[in-house]
Amino acid sequence: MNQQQQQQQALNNPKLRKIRVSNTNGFQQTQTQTQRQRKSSSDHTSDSHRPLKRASSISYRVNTPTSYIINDNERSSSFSSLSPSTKNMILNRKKSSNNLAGKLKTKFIKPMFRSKSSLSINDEKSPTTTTTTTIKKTSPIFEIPEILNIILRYVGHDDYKRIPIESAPIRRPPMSYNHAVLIHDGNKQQADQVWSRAVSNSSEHKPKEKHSSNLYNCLLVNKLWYRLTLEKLQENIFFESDEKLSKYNNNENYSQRIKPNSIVMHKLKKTTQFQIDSIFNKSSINTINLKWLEFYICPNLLPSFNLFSINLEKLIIPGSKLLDDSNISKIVQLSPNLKHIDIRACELITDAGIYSIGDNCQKLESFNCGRHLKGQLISDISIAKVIQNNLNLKTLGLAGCGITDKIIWEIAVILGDDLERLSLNNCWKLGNSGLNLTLKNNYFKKLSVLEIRNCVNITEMESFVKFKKNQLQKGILILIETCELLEKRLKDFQINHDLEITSRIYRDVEDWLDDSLVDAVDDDNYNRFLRSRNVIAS
Amino acid sequence: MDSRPEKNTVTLKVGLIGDAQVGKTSLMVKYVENCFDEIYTQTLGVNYMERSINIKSTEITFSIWDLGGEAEFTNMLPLVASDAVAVLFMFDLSRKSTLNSVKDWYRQTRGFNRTAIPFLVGTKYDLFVDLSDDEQEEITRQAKKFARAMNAPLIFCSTSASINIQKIFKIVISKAFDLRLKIPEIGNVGEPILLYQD
Repeated sequence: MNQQQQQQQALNNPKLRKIRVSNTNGFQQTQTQTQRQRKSSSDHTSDSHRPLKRASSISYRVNTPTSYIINDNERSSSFSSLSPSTKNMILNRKKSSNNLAGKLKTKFIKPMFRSKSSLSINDEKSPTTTTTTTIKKTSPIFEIPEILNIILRYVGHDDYKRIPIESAPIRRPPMSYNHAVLIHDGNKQQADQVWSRAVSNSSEHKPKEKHSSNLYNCLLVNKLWYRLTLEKLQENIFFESDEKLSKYNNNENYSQRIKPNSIVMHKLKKTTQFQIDSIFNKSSINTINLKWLEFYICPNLLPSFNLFSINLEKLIIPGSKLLDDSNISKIVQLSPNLKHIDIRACELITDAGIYSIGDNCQKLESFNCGRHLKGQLISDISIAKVIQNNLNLKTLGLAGCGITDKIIWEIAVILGDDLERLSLNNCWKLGNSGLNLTLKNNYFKKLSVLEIRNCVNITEMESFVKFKKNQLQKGILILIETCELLEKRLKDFQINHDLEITSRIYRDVEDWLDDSLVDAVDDDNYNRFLRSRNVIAS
Repeated sequence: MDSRPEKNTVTLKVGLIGDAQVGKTSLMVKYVENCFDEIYTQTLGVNYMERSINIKSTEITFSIWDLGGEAEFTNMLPLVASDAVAVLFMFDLSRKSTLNSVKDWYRQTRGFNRTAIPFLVGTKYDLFVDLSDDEQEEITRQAKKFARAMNAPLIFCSTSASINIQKIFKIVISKAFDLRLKIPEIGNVGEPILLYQD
């Protein structure tokens, strides 16, 4: 454990980044790693075999500070730009002070794990042919798989951040400039900003910060490390490009038994179902730990059915052109313990599919079947089934579905206490007898996001304004997403309502100020004070 | 369910500022809990109390912040002054030096909050009346001068004898809402001064 802590400490200490390297001939170089990185990127263009050969054939003497030199996340790229032997050396060095010279060789590193930008450190010196380097014995702790496993778990603790996910904006972009102005209470400058942002990248979001894994470096240490790290890396299988997937598919090294926690496919448009099946539809996949299965906007792909186990909790397949009623009902029978289902824009699904979800799943916390097209295929009957069987629902997305005010009452009565997010955008059948009345009667106690864009038949805004105020008083910030028309109605009502309240307050306060009873107390006290002084004086 | 009209709450933050031992905390406790303690307790840092007044469907809440008068607590002045609707600059009617310090307090407070309505409040009126006529005259004259310069209402009060305590906060409300008040003014030397009309 102590070793591990040291390593962690070293990981987090940027001061230890400076490494001093010298070769046996006494030539010394001191470089910061950033310099190295720069160098390595220029090196990269040259034949990548040569530097490796050179680097592996030379032994180094390393003067390091008192602790391990391992860099943290953001610098891991510079770390991977070191030659494998240096890495090895760094990873294997012990802390003790008598270890000033660590001599290693790296013959057990196969070229295929070579970091793509191997760096030759001694550009000035031609490579010598010393192959008689000795291996500094590493701490035995790094040879015990169980302990190594724990270490790797710590190294890869934030690995999940690399999984591609849909970026969720805090607010939806406004639908028009006027809408933006309304949202920002007439603040033109703010509205301009928001609107121009909405126009410029209406479809694409900011590219997610690339997060490279520390675990990649661990692949390069030795066979044991490689095996364990690969196992660890394959716990989260994700692809965001078709090329990577086909590469993965062609590489036999990965075909060992895998036990993934999550499988995420992100916007794969060219990959074929055959490729997917050849990766996942085989007995070497153990789905016991698989909790999260996502095929995000992969219109022509479906997850292989053998991936669905009783343990699956999260199923995200928005934008599938293949998922239909029979598929989904088969899926929910295989995985009845799902907590999250996201089947947005899966337009083949109808009431029958939704009904089978409601029939089989009872642990749902979030359910989203919003769509832009074919909303009439989903109606009250199937949604009611989902609601009645899933009392823990906190997020419900019914955008664009052909639901009516009747189902709003159902939601309010059954889920009202817990529901936090409700999306009803484009539900054209909704009118004044659903949300208005349920909100007025204080059904939705925890609701914090309500989306009612383009529900143009909702004309009475009083209950929305009052609900917003009530929630604020309870300390719940509520966001009501509306379209321009509804926002206008909402704001108009709000202004009138505020005016009314203000004038009422003024009336009340004025009455109180006129009431002389309060002043009388002070006057009485003064008179009593004067009397008591007169008594003393006389 | 929705038959009773909902309560409208208005919160007014009031800061109490002035030299040590002029009676800031006493005034606050007196107004909020209606009790007075002769024993002096030094305020370390900032005190805070709330009092709500219910007027029909409106609830007015005074949140009263009281800053310790010692110089070492001046760095907490922003806490008391910022967002305050009104600031009561308080001095001890029986110690002239505390009135002179108001100038400094006022300047510092304005640095953090330029919109708060200033009040000049003289405390310990019950001790003031025991001073000689000359002294009373001098202090009253000086206080009026200060109040004019600050464009602030001037009120003499006594926490121990409960004089003008309620009126102070009534005037705060009338100034905050910019509403007219019918309380008669008192301006004669020796009387508990109450000057608030512009």
